[in-house]
Amino acid sequence: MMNNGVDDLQSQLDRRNKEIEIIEKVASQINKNLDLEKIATTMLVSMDRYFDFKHSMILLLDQTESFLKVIATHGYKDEGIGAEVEIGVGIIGVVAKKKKLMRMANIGSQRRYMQTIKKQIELKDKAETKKEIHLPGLANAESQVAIPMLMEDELIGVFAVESDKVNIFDKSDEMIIRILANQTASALQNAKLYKLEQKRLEELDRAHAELAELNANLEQKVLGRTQELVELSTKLAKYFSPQVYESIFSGKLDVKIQTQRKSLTVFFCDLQGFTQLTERLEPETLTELLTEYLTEMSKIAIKWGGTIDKFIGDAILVFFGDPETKGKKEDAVACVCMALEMLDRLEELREIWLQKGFTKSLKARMGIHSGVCTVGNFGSEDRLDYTVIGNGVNLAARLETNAEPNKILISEDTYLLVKDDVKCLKSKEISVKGLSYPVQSYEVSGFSSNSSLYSSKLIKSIPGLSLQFDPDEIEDNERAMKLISEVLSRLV
Amino acid sequence: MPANSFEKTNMIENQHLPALEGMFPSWITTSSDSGEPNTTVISQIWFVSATEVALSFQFFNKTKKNISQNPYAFATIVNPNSFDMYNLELEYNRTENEGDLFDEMDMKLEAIASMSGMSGIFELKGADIYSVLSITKII
Amino acid sequence: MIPPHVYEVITTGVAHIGCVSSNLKPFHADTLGIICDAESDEVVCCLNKNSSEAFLNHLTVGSRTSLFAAVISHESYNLKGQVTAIRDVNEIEVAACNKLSKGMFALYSEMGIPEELAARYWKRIPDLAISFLVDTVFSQTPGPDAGKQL
Repeated sequence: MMNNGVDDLQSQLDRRNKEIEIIEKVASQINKNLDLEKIATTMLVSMDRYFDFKHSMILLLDQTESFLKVIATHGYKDEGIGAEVEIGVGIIGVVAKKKKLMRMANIGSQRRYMQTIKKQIELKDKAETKKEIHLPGLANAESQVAIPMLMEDELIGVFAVESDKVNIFDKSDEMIIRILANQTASALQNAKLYKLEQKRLEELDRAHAELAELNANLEQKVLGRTQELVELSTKLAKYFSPQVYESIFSGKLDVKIQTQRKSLTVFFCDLQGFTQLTERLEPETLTELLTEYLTEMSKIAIKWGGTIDKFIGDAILVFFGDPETKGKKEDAVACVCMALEMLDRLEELREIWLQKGFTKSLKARMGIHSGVCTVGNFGSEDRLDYTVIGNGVNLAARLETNAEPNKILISEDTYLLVKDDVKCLKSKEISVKGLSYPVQSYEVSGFSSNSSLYSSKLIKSIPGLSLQFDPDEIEDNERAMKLISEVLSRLV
Repeated sequence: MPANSFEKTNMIENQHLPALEGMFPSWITTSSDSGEPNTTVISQIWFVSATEVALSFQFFNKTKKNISQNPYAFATIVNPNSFDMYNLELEYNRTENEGDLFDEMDMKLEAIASMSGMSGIFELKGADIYSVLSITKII
Repeated sequence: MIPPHVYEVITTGVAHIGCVSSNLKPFHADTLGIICDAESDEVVCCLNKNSSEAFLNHLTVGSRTSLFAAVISHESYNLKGQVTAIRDVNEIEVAACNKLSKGMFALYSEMGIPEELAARYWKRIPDLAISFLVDTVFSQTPGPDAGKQL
């Protein structure tokens, strides 16, 4: 009796020692590894080799935490890797849900019992109950031990061993499985973390590359956009006088309804006989003519620093003194210079047009007045017009109407500013609506000889006669005079 | 106490444990307060401690009704490995609705039910704990 | 009148019979064979005295009794009634027991239970007969109708 007891204990002890040895061996093998699948497979193979656990599997908790996925199996015909088990379903699912070990010894009879009840329910209610769930593992499993693999109380997966023999696992088996499962858990966790780390590094590299590409693309986009804006503003520029355009773009001029009273010199000009021409000419021809005229006149206005207010058909309104001013006197003088040059250029244009067959001669009338006007952005919230208004403007317009063909009529105010540089003849008095007294006007005849603007040079050409006269260059006055006489004698 | 002694004891020992794993059904008799017996078969009597066993309480049946009137029960458990059989005299003590034993019962129930697609049909209402008054081997 | 399907179960399945002592303690024993009178509601259960001691100590004629019987398919019934006689078994009853045990051996063998284990239960000698008059029959098959009176 006694001996039996001692032998019993001895064999128990031997077994225990052997088990510890094996556990250590398996554990060290696993821990060397960082590969998830390798760790799992090593564990399962060892369990068969040392403990005779013929059918086993390891499942890991999916990221969504709603199901487990089989990552390694041992002892099954169909490997079943990737099979899923929903949390809470079956032995493995319930073990995962409750995070507690479960050992079942007679699965078959329990299922049959359950089936009986199921059939009774179906017979009674004539209703179909839910189908049997298909789970990975032995179809005829009788014994199973399933253990949750936990890391700091967090579920990472389930370890399951099963058999088709009833009641094959005992408490001792339970303990071995528990120990090895824990080892596997920490090894798997390490491998998982390692894998995550790798993945994170890869993602970081990818993000860097994407960012670099994005930056490059961004630069391209910015360049493209800038280009578009430049093109657009260039197109817009044509609708403004350069000075206004400049002012807007430099930020000096704010785009809102804003006016001020300023001393300006206002210039009006139109073409006599133009209206009749519009009735007679083809639209294309008319456009060509008008464009040429306005372009030439604009060039001259810009050259002398005038702000082109507007074109109304063939009429031109230019003012000096805003947005920039060189001084009241200087502005007025510049305006008169501009007007004189315009007359000269018109003469040339008349020749050209005659060549083209426009027999009607176009003559310009010009009016200039200097005084305080209101200038700025006028209009509504949505549509602004940079222009000038006031009695001064009206006066300039009246002067223009009263001017002789190809002549410049200026007001007394302007005359007083330009008389040092410009020769004028006193002309009629002009009455203007809004002014209680009539205005004395003066006709411009040319530059004063003592003005710096006065140029003794003369360059003129008409068909058949070209004249280039620069008195400073003439060395022999006698000879020059003789030449002119000869021309004159031939003409008469 | 040797395993094959037929004497009455009152402590659960190693030799009894295999009979308390649900490998083989157990049968139990209870009595109403008027002395009407009710004999029935259950799938498992659970080991709790050396002096206690438990029955799972899933629905209010005749057994449960009797116990509420008369706490005494008589059960027979079978060791599936040896077919040793033991009679247990029991006295109802209390019902637990949580804890390790409850979890163990619940998990087992849920695992099997879910496999058969019968999840949610069964509900473990409690673990009824009985004191073991005596254990007698009959076979 | 015991319905035929109930009769089938109690004569071919495993059954246990219970009683209550005068001080309201319950007891039971295993039956090794059951004979049923087709017309009357009397049921005779055969027991092995030795392994039924606790039960027999508290059983008298007139005791209330509860018989539970089940077959392998889990179909089961509970028959309640009053003990009418406690006596020796007769030949017919022994024959019935032999027939039942034979059937059980076959069943256990099918289930993979070794014969020597089966024998521990089913080779017990039936040496006592308990007869009782059935007054109520309940269905005990696991399911929604368990506990329903027939």
